[in-house]
Amino acid sequence: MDVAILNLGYLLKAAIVTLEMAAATVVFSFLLGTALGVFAALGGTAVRSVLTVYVYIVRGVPVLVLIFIAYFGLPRMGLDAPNYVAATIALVIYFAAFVADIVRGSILAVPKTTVEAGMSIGLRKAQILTQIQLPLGMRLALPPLVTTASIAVKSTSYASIVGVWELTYASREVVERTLAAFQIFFAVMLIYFCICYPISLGATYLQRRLKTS
Amino acid sequence: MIEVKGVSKSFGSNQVLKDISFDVKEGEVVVLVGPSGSGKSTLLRCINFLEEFQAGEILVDGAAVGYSGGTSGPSRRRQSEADVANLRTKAGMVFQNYNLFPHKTAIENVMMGPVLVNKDSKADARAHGLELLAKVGLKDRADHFPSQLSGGQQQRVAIARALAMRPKVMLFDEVTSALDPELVDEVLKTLRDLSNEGMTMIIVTHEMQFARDVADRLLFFYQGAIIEDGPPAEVFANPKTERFQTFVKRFQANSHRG
Amino acid sequence: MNWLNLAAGWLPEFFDGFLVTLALVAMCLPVAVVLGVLLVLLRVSERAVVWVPTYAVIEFLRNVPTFLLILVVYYGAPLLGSRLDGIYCGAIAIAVQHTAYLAEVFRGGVSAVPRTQWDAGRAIGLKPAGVFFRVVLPQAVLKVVPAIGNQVVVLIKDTSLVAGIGVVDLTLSGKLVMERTASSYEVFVVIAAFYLILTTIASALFRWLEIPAGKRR
Repeated sequence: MDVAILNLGYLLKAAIVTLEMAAATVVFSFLLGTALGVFAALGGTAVRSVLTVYVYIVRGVPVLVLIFIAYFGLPRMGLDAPNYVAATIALVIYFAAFVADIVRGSILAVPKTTVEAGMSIGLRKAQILTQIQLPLGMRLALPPLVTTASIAVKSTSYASIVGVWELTYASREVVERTLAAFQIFFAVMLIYFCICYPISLGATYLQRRLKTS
Repeated sequence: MIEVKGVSKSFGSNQVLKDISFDVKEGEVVVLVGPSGSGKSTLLRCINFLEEFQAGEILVDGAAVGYSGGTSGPSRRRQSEADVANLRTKAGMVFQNYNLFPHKTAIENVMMGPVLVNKDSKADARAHGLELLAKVGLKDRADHFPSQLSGGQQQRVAIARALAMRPKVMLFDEVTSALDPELVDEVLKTLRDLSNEGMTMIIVTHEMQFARDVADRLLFFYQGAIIEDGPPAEVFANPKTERFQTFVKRFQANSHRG
Repeated sequence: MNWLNLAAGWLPEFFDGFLVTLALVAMCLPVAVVLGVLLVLLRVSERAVVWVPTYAVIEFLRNVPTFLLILVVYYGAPLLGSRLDGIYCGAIAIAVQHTAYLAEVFRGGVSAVPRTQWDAGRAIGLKPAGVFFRVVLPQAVLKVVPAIGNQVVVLIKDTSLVAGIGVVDLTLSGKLVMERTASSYEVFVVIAAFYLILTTIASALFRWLEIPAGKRR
């Protein structure tokens, strides 16, 4: 395990890159996805159909293929972006679809009767949205959203395939140099685990706490 | 106070309200009874336009609800969302399943209407809200969440919430049907008190004894039409239709309170 | 450039890649299902000495990236003296991780089976393992058919990761065609369409399976 410890500094630096990429992915995909989800929940069939198609495509295509499309496609469109930007864009587009679907479902899951109660005291549609549907909907959405965040963190490792220097890429470098595959990869898996497991515990905790209220 | 004129409503090909007409005077307590599916709840929900109706007119305190321009025909147009919301403040509604906002405390539930719609200050709304909660006997629970309250308590908060908008009429849609038997009485007491204060009330209920005691008038709905209408004592003593007799007998046999 | 001609030229290579993808799915899915069932049997045991390490293994596998697992097998196998082809490295890694995923899915189904079913099984004389396999598990599986369908789709998509270790599956064949014909991202749009067809068929299959499953719940 000394190999792992010797290289730990290098690996932890790469872990920070992973976290940065994960944070960017989560923030942008959640913002985009929430906006789309709210529109789809309240808008007409047109917006809802667009979202359905978008989710269907993203659900059925591997993240890696989307990353390749972004990686090779962006230069073609005239945008000369570094590889991690292309990868992040692909990840944001991927996860925004899931976030949008979750948010839409959660807003619609707010019981119609609760909405009617708001209507009966004279609240306007916009007020019902901001005071009732969004707060209650987002509470329902929180557990699956947290799970999605955990998956997003793991997906950053696929960026290594297009050459982005993050934790998985760095671990590969070290293994090829030192040949200590098991020790290094075990250490790296532990790092990923330490990031993702607490997040998934958070989701379970939220699930239980929000059920009682 | 309330005028219902020739209201008809269909869900698709199923007509649930057939040319309903009746008036409610200020201060009157009118009880709507009838088998499930007879249209009584639907009619109640038309009054505050939670349900649309294809024909007819409903006036609350002189103002038309939901549509302007007559009872039918080309000039009949849906009102704007703003107008509908405004009219809803004149009629307070209490639902079978209380429908409190779970993410707000009791007092916050009561304050929501006054603050958001009437633009009252939070202080004023809170003061008024506490008065109303005291009136329904729940002042000490003001800062509790609905999940911390029993069904009967939640229902009383719901009543306070509806009263906070100072409505001209209160609409009650089977407000005790979802309650455990022990909790029904506290809610009925609140209703009784309200009626004694002179509130105009339209109550859809299965509580026949309550109807007999409190109502000024009883309307029996059957398959979308009103087939009995009169003071409860009279209707029970001399029903015009056999259907009502059968209905009452069935109720006394299936009474869950005894 | 004539799209159709281009596409026609690409198809044979895609097809080879597609076969590799199918082979991976065919190898990993049954293994993951069978092992997942065995794993969940351990997971729902009431003896802490059994379920605690099982829980640890499942949670560990669920919280690490799939590609990393593939790399572990890819770089680790030679160290253990075996000369595994890339495709088998990928297959092992994906099968292992999806065993953990499926075990969790099954566990959800098992916990939804009422306690009374266990009692009923014991009451007719079955031993605990018998109760599990003949009474509880079938009901659990029927309850989670949609979730299993979702996992199958995830598995199909995860096979694309072997492209990262040079295995010519559907995804990597796209990259090769792209380099050979000097085209660009359009190739991957076609690849995406292929995956979409594959996952749509898989989802449709499971939606069809939900009908008998729903009746027997």
